[in-house]
Amino acid sequence: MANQKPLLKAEDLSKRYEDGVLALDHINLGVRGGEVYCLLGANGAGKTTTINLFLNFIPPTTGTCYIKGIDVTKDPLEAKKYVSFVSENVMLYGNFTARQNLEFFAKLGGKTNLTKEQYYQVMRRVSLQEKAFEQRVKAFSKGMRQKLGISIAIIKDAPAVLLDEPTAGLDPKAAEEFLEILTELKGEGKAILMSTHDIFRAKEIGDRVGIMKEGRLVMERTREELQYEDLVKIYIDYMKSEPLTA
Amino acid sequence: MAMLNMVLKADDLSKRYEDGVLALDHLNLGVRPGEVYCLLGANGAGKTTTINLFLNFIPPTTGTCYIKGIDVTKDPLEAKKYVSFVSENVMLYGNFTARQNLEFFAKLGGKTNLAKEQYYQVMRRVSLQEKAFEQRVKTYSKGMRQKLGISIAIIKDAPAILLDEPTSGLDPKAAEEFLEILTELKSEGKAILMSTHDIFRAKEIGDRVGIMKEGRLVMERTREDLQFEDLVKIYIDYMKSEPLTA
Amino acid sequence: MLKTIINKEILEALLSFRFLFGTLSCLILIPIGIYVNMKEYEQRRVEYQEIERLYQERSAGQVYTNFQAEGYRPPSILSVFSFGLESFLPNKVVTSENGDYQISKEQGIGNPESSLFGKADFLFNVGFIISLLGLIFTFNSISGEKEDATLRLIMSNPVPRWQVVLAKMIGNYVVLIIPFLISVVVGLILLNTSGVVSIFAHGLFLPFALILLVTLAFILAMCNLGLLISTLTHRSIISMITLLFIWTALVLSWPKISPMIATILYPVKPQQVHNSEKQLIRQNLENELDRARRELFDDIFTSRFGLTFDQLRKETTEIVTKAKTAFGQARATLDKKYEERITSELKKLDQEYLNRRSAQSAIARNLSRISPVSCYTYIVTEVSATGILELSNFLENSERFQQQVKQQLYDKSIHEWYGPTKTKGAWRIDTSVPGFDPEKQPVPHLSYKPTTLSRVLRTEWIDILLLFLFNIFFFAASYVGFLRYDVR
Repeated sequence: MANQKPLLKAEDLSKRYEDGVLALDHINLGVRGGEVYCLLGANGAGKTTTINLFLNFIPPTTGTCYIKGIDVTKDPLEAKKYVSFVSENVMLYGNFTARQNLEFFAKLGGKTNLTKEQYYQVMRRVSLQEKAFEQRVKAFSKGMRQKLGISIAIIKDAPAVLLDEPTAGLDPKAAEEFLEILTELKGEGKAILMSTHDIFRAKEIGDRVGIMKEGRLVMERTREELQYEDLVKIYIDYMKSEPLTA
Repeated sequence: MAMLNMVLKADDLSKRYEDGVLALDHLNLGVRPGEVYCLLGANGAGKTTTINLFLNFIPPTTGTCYIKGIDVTKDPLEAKKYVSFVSENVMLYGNFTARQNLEFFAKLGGKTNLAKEQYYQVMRRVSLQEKAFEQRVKTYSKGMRQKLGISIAIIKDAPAILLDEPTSGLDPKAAEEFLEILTELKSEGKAILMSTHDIFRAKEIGDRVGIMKEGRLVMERTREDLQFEDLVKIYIDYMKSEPLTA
Repeated sequence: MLKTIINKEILEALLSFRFLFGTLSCLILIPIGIYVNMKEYEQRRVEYQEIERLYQERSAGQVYTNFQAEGYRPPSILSVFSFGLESFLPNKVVTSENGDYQISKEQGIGNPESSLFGKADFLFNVGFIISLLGLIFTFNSISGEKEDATLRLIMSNPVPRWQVVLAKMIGNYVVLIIPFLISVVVGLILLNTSGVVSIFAHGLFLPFALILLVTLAFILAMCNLGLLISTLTHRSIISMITLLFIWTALVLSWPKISPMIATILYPVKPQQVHNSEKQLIRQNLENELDRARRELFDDIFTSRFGLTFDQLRKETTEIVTKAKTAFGQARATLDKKYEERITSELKKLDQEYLNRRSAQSAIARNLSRISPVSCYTYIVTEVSATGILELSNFLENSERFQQQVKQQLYDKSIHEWYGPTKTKGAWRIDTSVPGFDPEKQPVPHLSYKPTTLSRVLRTEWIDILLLFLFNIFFFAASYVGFLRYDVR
């Protein structure tokens, strides 16, 4: 792996909420360009909190998140130019068409002069049906909305991509298509951080896989290492072990 | 194949919606006691429609659904005594505790004289944390709500169980625990019909696996068959092939 | 099964924010509304007593045969619950020798701001605010459960659909009605301990009980309407928007619009125009009477007896006396004839006018009955004696008072009148019957008779029936709505 600086970096990141819950406990994590990092863990283990901190939706208690070397709390507007976000369960604007949604978010992301055909191209790339391009999104199935969400991330063409549970609710074919797109994006040199429950696909696509438990990154394995270990077994063992905090 | 003791039976089931969409096309399906049947397919392929027809939420265009030999459209109240339902994405009653939710649905299902300890036992069985039993459900994570949903199905103790995407949103550990419970229920002789996108676990738990495409059951394999075939490959191939209807 | 769901609905409602909000609203608005109106009633009653007292004082010893007696209407006790038309209903009548009594409204010392914004009495609080509360409790009862996916869990069990709808109606209504009743009890305690009004006083309890029953039926109708909204929509936000639209239309707009439509459909001339017309007719007839008298005078004095006006005035001979007697008798007959004619023509005119007014009013009322708030308002105002019926009742009391004073005073006067056609003026002698002493006459006092409850029921049975039918209709429609409801 080329020794570049990571495009996404979490340095000694901690987050304690107002109700006292310690959601993240000194996380250190980095994702380089052309690398897919899959974050596994139970609900509440800290995966979504990590993503929220990268997006500056909440401030860290200690530590820093960097996107392309920019501290996201010090210069959020600059940092956000370099990251795309695919959220889980996004309804989008139901009364707009797919293209209208795409156009809106493309412009927000800085791509103000695209033609209709360019929007259509991106939607084709994610295998969204042609006839759906000018249909209102409220008629879309979950899989279709997910694809539209990914196309929104693609059209921004940012060097870092954050995904929160991207394959949840997708049927196997759509999930496989999604993995193909991720592989393409990886080939374009993007740094991809993905939180997921899909342990099977995490093993397939992840260059590195991290397991979070109670706010800590308790384990990290590369693809090579996982050829010799059963990820599912490792995961279950970590989850079954004693809680880290009393 | 002995059709006689099928607990869940769909006979030549078709459903065309008012807007003309043919959601189910002459479906024939049966689940025996002690059997787990996994239904795979894209969104809109007909999996949820099948479940909705079994529950008489919509009437069939042609064909019949039977639960324990009872025609669900002719005698819905009688048929519903013999089936439990685990829905996807159930919010339940947020201001009630887990036990209050469980108690309400247990009574609706006919179990009117249970003790508090019996409710607790069922919740323990699904690995819901003890301290959550008397907490309000609106504070629950998705995984916890899913577990509560399963416990609601378990306490009814009906011979047939319908599950709609039960593992979506569950982290790998919770999903594995869920599979364990399903295995227990299967050995108690329950007939289980489960729609899912989780092709990997479908292969693990399913005694039979069916793939639906555009309203038709295009393929069915038993566990033995799948030892020699790659389900994922079969699935993708079916999905990639020409649409069944023009 | 039904009991299980009812219990669930009650518990769910008790744990909700809307219950907290509803309880606070009831506990604050109802007792305060009753208390404030009671204070105001007290003030009006004091004003009434004061006015009566001043009238008696000022008139004592001066009760002549042409005395214009004043009758006052006391404020209605039940106006504590519904101010109604109090500021518009006449409360003073002045009798007149010529039979034309005048009714008017004696303005008390008012508060201009409260006229600007209206009174927050019990009727307003229930009709506007508690009605909204009823809708809030049930507007997303079905649609909300669909959103939370609990509805399909319920329906996957052997539960007949009618049980679900019935349980929701009962559960939510019970949870709303209990804080409401508590606040009514608090209000009643405030009333009874004030010393001003006692609800258990004779004649008050029954009307109050009727008001309370009708209120409970009205609130139930609004709960059922909310339930109906919930079975016609599939998302809470849509249910909420529908609720607001319906509440605005039914409670705010429609009752105001219907009278306006009635005036357009069936216009009626204003009261002043009618009074002027009556005045004109009376004037014409009186002029006619004057001419007739003069002709009679000529006929009897000049033609028959051959006397002159001067002779009549100065002489007291036997022939003059004879002439006076003959004239007096003939004149009395003439006067009586004209009195009857004037009375009957004016009465006919009044009746026609009243009929037209009633017809317009009936159109307005019937149109407005599309809204249950209108029906509720009519019942409560009529039972509280602050409604349209009170106007009729006041007119009857005025008529009776006029007759009373006529018998006591006007009939006791003797008018002699002499005037030929050739002179402009006339010579009058006014005396009273022997024995009549103005200083010893009691000042006439109007003993006001309120409307009876049975009379109110005779007109208001229709609104009571409509409230009952609204309940049936809204609930039945909810049931039907839920039968075809997509629970997925």
